[in-house]
Amino acid sequence: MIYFDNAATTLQKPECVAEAVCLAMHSLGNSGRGAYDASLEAVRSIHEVREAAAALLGASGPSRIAFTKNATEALNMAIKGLAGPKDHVITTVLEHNSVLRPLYELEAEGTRLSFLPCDSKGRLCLEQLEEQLGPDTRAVVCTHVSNLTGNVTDAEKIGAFCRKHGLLFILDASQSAGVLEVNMERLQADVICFTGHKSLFGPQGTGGLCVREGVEFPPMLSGGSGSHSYDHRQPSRMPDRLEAGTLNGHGLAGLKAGIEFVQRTGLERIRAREQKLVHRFCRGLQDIREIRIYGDVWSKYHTGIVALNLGDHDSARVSDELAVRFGIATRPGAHCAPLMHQALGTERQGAVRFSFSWFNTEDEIDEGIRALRQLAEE
Amino acid sequence: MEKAGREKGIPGRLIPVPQDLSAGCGFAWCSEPKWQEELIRLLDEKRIEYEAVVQRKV
Ligand SMILES: Cc1ncc(COP(=O)(O)O)c(C=O)c1O
Repeated sequence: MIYFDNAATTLQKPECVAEAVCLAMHSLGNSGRGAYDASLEAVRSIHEVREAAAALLGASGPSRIAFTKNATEALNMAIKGLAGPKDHVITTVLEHNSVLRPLYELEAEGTRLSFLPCDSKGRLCLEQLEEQLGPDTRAVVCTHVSNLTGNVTDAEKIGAFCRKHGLLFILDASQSAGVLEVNMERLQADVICFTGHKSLFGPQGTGGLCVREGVEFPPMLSGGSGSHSYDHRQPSRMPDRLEAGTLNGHGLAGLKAGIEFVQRTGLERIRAREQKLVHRFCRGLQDIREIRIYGDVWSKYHTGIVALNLGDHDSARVSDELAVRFGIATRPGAHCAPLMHQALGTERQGAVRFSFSWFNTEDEIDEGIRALRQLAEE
Repeated sequence: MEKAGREKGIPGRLIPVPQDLSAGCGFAWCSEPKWQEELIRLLDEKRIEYEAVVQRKV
């Protein structure tokens, strides 16, 4: 099989990730629950993941990182924790449902929402930010990279806008962590939500948030923390505040190995590699008239994703043919980003998404081009 | 469904839902029409939730 669904989850991970998980399963107790070796080993192991994540995201210290089971959980915590019924929140049409649905829930309680639109290539109209600002505006929530088009948002600009107007900036780094520099200071973000199983090459069930010092919101869950056991309330200290219950210590050990792989390889190299694959792919498709590519694929503000359609053919059908006849894994249909499909006019047809990773090869790309060419000719 | 079908020896496979049935995402079980009755019986018997059963040309 040729795997081109890396934006959903990376299938091929560096060897060191599974090894780290396996080792952890043989050696880790419950972090912070005892003072014997296996428990302390878990404390150390998790602390090291925190350090790795803090370094990757430019946090002021490891305690600013709280782990969750994925980006969805992190986004729910940050969005629902930071915006209330009297607030106005600015978001974008690029968003994934893990941003939109929590926001719609808030909207039902009274929160006012505005959506920053995009142009025909799916690029955000950032110049309209200023117009959307109101006296009640509390936060901007947006994705760093569209999971449908692969377009990169100018998060630095949004961060500067938020800082200027005293707004909170919540960034969804699900598609950018591990590919682009995601630095809390540089982007002036207040909360960065990330997931472990995509470009960070970690196991599924890992993710978290990076919270700026001074930004506080109530936990979604409360329970055991291994500290202050006689207090009726969840400890207010980060990260215990946001981490009730036993963490996925085994998975997090794998995430650490994944982050280390990314750091060792270098974000620049990973980015350049993905871009090279995208360009090769798009160049190969250029002369196939029936193919319509969405997104700003030739720009440098773009990652390893290419969404396309073949004539008027159902994206589900095309993706299925690619899988069954050519052994090529892609994702069809809607991509949990309903407003993005509306903006691109692909609500009915959906789109076939090809998403590449560090581990894809030129030969695989060429195989993908050949398959699409054959389908177009039929 | 995959497991239940295999147990009963009903052929078929999971495919992405075609756009004319439902825009969006999700899966459908794709099999030949002659299995329809038996499939519905199986779905009911195993209490497998489903939205619709349709016949179409491929
Ligand atoms: C932009 C974006 N945000 C959020 C998510 C949610 O990630 P997870 O499913 O790991 O919570 C995804 C993943 O599909 C995504 O692409």
